[in-house]
Amino acid sequence: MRLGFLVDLGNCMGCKACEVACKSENDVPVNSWRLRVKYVDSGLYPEVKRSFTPMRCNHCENAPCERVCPVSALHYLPNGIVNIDKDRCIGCAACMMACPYGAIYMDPESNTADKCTYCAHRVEGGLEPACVVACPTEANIFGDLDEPASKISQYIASHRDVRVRKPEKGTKPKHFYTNGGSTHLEPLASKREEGLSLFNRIGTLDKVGGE
Amino acid sequence: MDPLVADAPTLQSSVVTLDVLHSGVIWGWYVTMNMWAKSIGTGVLLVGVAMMQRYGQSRAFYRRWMPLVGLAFIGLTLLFTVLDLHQMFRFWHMFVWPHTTSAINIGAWLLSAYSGLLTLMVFAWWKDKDALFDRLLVPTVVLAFFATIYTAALMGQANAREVWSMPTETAQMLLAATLSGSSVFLLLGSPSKEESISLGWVLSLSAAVALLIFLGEVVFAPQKSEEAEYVVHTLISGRIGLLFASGLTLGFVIPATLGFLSAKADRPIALRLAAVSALVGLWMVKHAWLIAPQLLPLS
Repeated sequence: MRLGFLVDLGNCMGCKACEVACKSENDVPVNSWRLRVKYVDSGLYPEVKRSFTPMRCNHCENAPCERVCPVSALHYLPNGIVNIDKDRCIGCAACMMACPYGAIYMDPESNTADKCTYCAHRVEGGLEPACVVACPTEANIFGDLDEPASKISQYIASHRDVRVRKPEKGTKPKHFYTNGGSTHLEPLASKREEGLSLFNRIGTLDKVGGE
Repeated sequence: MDPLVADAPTLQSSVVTLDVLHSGVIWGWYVTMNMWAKSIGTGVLLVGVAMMQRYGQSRAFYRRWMPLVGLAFIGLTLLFTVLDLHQMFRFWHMFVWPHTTSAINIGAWLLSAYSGLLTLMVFAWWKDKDALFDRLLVPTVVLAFFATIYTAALMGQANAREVWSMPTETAQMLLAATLSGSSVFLLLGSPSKEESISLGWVLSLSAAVALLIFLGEVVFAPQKSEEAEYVVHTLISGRIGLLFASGLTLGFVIPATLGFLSAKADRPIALRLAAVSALVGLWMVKHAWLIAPQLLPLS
């Protein structure tokens, strides 16, 4: 079994229901995110476009975070999920240095690394991840990549524009996107100007982790 | 011209208009201190043993300072390593649940073993047990070598920070160690004029080669990806350009110049100045090198 995710960016409308569901399900602290939706505006008025990209851990088959973790706090589950044992984590942040997707954060309450686990606790009980349940447009598709009849496998087979983020890193992500382009998936394809933006402040955290 | 049209290239480019706050710099000056202190802690062994072999009459000087300085700075390295952990009281997990694919874990074992041998060396020096001291030399130098280069392996595992993974990172770690080791002995006052000149050579050559590598890899060579280009731009002319340039000047240009000028004659003041400049500049270069890739937006 290899559990994976696919986001149909053509269906995503940036409602952030997945973000909220994830926060609620996993008690993610303020200023920390397991899943987030990034807005990118492009074009020249009146030809403007806003794109939405949900981003979470890619649960790579060749996960650099797992390899660099000195205490095996990050580890593979038999179903392919890259899980984290927060009781074992020493908070060295090497995983944050290794993850090319910026998907890992330092939990300010536990002072340990944390990230999306594809809601491993829900999956174990036969449920779908919280973000999948919350998505009103079914843009999030979750399932077994090894099962040809699964929705995700069929979706991948029937779409010719399925992409992953940063394939050149050799991490073999199990998180796919379709109906998207560079603006969605490549961080340097759009300007990230620090300061107040249209909706919020774009910038960096003043402090990583807690006291 | 309509201002909107004049600004068209800017307006047409994509802009992030809603996003969470990114983590920014995660590994800060504690990690810089770790790398800098480790360069000194292992460099004194690597340079000191070579000097002992060449200048047998000064064995007592090196027997004294090698383990003392080495242990002090490896202690500092370990201190900053632990302080940088967000869960510092779980440091022992490294030894109970070792993950051997991790360069951090390998490094923890190497540094622990190295500091253990250095402690024994201090004991042997203190009790005048020369035979024990000499038996400890080879394993300690071997550990010093691997303790120096393991950080390059760790940087190589940081998949998100491409610039840290440059092929010459291992050479840079070794050069930082020989630069630091020679600087420390020059500051301690080497026992003879010949030794001072030799240490000046080690210092200036280490500085010159390190500078050439930086120039070749970072300044002259085109980068292989947009991400690396972004980081190198940050390093050379971006937010931390001044820090990096100052570091290169203090750490490499000045020591190399003063070292070469003192190659024929013993100029203790010039060499000590070169040593101080090298140690200060090395810290700045290490810090700039550490920070720049962390300013890259990853997602």
